[in-house]
Amino acid sequence: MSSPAEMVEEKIMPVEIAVDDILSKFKDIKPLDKGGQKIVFTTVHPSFGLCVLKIGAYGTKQTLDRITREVSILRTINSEYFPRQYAFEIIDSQRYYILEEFLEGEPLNKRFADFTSEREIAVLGVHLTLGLQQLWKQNIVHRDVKPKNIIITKNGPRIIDLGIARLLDATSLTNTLAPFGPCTPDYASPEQLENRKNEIKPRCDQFNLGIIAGQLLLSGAHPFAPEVVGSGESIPHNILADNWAREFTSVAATPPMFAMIQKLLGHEPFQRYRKSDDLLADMKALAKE
Amino acid sequence: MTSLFHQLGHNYIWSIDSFCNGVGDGIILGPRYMEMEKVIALPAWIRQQAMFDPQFYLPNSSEGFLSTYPFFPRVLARGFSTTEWTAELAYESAFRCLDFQAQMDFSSVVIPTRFTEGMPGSYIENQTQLFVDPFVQACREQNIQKPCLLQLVLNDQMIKDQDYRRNLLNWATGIEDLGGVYLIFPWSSNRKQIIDIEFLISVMTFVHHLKATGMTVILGYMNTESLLYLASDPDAVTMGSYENLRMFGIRPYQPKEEKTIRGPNARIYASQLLQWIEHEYLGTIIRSIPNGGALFDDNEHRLLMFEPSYKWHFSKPEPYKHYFSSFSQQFHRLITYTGHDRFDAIRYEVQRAIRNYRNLEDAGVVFNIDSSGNHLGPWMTALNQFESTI
Repeated sequence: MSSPAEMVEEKIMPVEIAVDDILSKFKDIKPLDKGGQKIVFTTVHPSFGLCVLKIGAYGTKQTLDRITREVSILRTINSEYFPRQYAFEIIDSQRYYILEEFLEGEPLNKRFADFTSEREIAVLGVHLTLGLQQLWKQNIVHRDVKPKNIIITKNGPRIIDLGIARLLDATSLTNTLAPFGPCTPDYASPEQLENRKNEIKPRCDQFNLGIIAGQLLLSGAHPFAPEVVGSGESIPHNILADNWAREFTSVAATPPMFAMIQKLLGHEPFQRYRKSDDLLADMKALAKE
Repeated sequence: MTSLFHQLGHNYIWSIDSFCNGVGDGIILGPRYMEMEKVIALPAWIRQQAMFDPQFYLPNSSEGFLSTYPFFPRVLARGFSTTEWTAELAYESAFRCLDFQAQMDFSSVVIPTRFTEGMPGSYIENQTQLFVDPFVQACREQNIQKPCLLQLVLNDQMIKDQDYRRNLLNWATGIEDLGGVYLIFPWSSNRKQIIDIEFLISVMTFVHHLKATGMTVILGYMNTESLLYLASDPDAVTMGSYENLRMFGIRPYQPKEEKTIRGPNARIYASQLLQWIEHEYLGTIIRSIPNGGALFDDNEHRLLMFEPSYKWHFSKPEPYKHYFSSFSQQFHRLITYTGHDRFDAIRYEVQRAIRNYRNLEDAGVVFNIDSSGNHLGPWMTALNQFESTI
């Protein structure tokens, strides 16, 4: 069941996109997901096998330019941590489709129980940091790192829904005069929730990682959830109030792990890691123990 | 360990002499008072312990020796205006300026800044566009391995406004290429000492936050308040001879006015009063209380100045060389302490100065406002309040 914040996100992003003409180009189509300004299917491609087909709409040339840039970067980094991009095409100046690698696995929110030790959490953290670093070095912020966007495959974690979803969400949220910036409110940093656009930098993603690490230490419970911390009206409310669980009861957190999470969850960006290599070093040290 | 740098300006030779005699840990050079050839001619060992402030405060300035530096914006663009300062010119200036700093083998390289009044909403955007982006790009292309410091000239409004301060912190700490910041706080008062408690706390809080991120923090154009700021554990503070090196103002970079500016009264630094005292008070102080002369640290320069025949004038070197030596000793005593012990050590210095002022007052010595101890109460308050927040 969706949390109230997720429901808000869905509610403010209605989607009506014509897909039939695009789908006719592909075989073995199956619907997979619907959200933001895009609809997602699976398809079997003769060369690439099982793929994900995303069909989306864009409103302005600026938005299209940004989508194009993001796709181009994904192709450039060609990273094992992100799904491979096979095709990108613009249709009738209003829509686009992207064909990308299908990831066999389950999202992290369905695999919380697999992480039963601090070391396992740190190993996941190392992979996620390495993956996100490839974006940060290109001045890209994922802005929506959450368990649902992390697919645990047999070859390790993969990060999905980067950039493109972010950009499309940005347009829709602006149109709906949403009180906060484009994000999933339950996983957003304070600067995202306050829509401080100039401060939406890679350190937003660090905050997201901090929540995920905390959530894994709490066997899936959200570290900012009112029922976990014992106060607050909602998760976003607690995020803005810097009110999070400072005790992790499910998986014992050693002082170095706690110190790292505390830094990741710094209320202001300047309180978080200044250099992603420092974060990676801390993660790696914990992964070795 | 915090260092003490000489801030060089007019009569920079006094500072260099002092540094060569083992006083101070480094120097900060600047083009306003030192032509490029003179910088190049400095011995390598001095340059290696020096920083170079490009002083782009007013990019269109032609004062002093700024024009001897081919990368200075006015020189490069044959006049400077923001509308004509293209990305190509900005990059060219940055590339040459960094190349000069690297060639000179200075201890770090500095990204300059423009002097700004008030609290413009576009401050970060403008500084980024004009200087930060071109310098960072040039730094990467030249593969500069020295620590890269971002200079920030922050007025009292900027530093006291919590949101503005937060935005500055988030911005500066978000530039991964930086090793640290070189902070300058323009003097906003007509007094000789800072008595604005909120300002003092804001500066220390700002430094504290920057230090927590692992950045190097250097405080430039410092007067004696740098001893108070040691509570926030900066990496370096400065000392300078003339007042314009201890109280930053933009006037030396503006076209000179026709009228003659009157020189300040000659003053001597009293470490045990934490104040510069006008020389006319010297005899009275020595006569009024037992050991009054001990308020001024003893060194070869004091010996000369205490001679009845000494002709006091603000442009003579002795008061400044005495200050360098005296202040350096006081500074080095304080930095042997860390954490809350350092707060206690600073508190002791301030309390002692308050006590000494009280003794003098009891003996009938009434100071004018520029030599008084009116700053000590605000300093003590700021120190206590800052300590309670960390």
